[in-house]
Amino acid sequence: MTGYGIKIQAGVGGFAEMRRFIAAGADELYGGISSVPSHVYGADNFSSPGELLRAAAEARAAGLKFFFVANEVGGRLLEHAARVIKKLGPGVDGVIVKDLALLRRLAELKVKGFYILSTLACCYNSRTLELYRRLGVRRLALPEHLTPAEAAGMMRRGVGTEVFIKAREYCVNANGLCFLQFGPENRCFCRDEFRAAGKAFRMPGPSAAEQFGQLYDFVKLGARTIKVGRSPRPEGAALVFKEASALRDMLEAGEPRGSFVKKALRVHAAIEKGFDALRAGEARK
Amino acid sequence: MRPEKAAVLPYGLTAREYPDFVRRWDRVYCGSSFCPGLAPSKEAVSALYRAGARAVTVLTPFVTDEALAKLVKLFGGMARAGLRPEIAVSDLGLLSALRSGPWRRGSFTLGRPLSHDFLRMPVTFLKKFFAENGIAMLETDEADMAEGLPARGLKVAFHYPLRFVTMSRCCPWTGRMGSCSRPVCAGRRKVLTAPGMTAPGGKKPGRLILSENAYFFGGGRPPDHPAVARTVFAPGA
Repeated sequence: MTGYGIKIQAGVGGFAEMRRFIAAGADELYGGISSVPSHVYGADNFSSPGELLRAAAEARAAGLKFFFVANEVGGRLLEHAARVIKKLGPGVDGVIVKDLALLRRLAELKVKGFYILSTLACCYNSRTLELYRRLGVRRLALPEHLTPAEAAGMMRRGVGTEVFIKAREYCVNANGLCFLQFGPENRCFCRDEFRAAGKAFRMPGPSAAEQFGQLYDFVKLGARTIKVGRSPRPEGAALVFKEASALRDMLEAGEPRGSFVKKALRVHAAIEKGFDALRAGEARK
Repeated sequence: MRPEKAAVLPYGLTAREYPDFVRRWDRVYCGSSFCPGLAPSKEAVSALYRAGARAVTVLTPFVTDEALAKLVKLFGGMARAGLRPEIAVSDLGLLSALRSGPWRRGSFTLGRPLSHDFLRMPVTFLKKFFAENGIAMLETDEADMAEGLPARGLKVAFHYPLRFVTMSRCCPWTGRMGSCSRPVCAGRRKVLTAPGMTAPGGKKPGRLILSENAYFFGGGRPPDHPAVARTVFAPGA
């Protein structure tokens, strides 16, 4: 066993989902509230700070950490977000943030907290990380479009790091800088097949094998939290959690890189069958 | 007072062609807001000034540790050679590094990848941040956001005719993460269509334009608004 102590952090939109993740063995949870914008497509939020605090208390009583997410706060709602964060205070274990203006406002209000910098902040280098660290950032959710070799310098800076299972939850384009959603369902076109001068074109991204290799390398470099994102389909999030748990177990068991990637791909394929079943069930409704 | 007129130097233009290009504009932009592999050399910037460019802005993107070090070295070299272009920064770490080195009294603008979020932050924060960091204006291509600014105060450099939609560090031309040693994309563009994808406004089929490692829609002309202090034209769109 490696003794890495990898934690799984799951996003939740309500009490029922939260309780399922607690029962499934999550170590950390995060959730938002409806009046403070956070980057989520279609998933639920808690209805109020009071409801979120009750959820946090229940999670903490079960031995988990609970974070508040406020990672897409624009100008008009920034003051409201800062006041909510001040109100939540020690009732949550920290806040997931993106906006520099929000962090500076929190500093002006003398609100001290444990801040996790979102992938959306596009923190690609140690110098940027240091700016945020001085504003209270203590953990970094590594940008999705960053390789382990590129992140290595930042990961030596004494700030904890988190990663998504990028083979499963990955933005083809730079997360936080993508405005490719259209239509009544606000659908993203990044995985569609485009045509260019009569030829097919797909926006490129690393293969699943490459992504699992990167996950291995990120953990070797010191990443200790695997994130499971919020989803409009709680059943889908549960599948991702199952995948995260299996990967975590393999990493903790000290699988060498090559066999880890092979086994991870098998797990990935099995979980994909679960998603196929979900989609088939939805199509029947 | 009319806005300053700027244009982005087309990739691949030779130094011999610079005089004809620069004389048509108040300012010339070079480099890239999206890919560090497209940074201009010190020699190219020097050639622009020798060709008669009245003002130059170098565009820079988000950068990794390695790319940040390279750009700091590049701009350090420019400073030692007496070259002082304005720098459009899209990375807070790069801004910090330049301002603590030979560019501490330099002139900066906030590049498009960064300005998208910053344009949505409170004006009071922006004014303070700009004053602290020597930032003159925001680069943007969002007409609605520019028109929403007060007539006096923050200034924007408006890019047209392309409007930024998304970008990737996984290069659309090589399929690999990060920049390449020789720009494979240099000067090339692709026009992409997909069923169901509409243009902004939702009425017509959309055409995405791939340029460098970023995707754009065709945008409109710069808005006629006092906040637009500069227009920046991208030829070849």
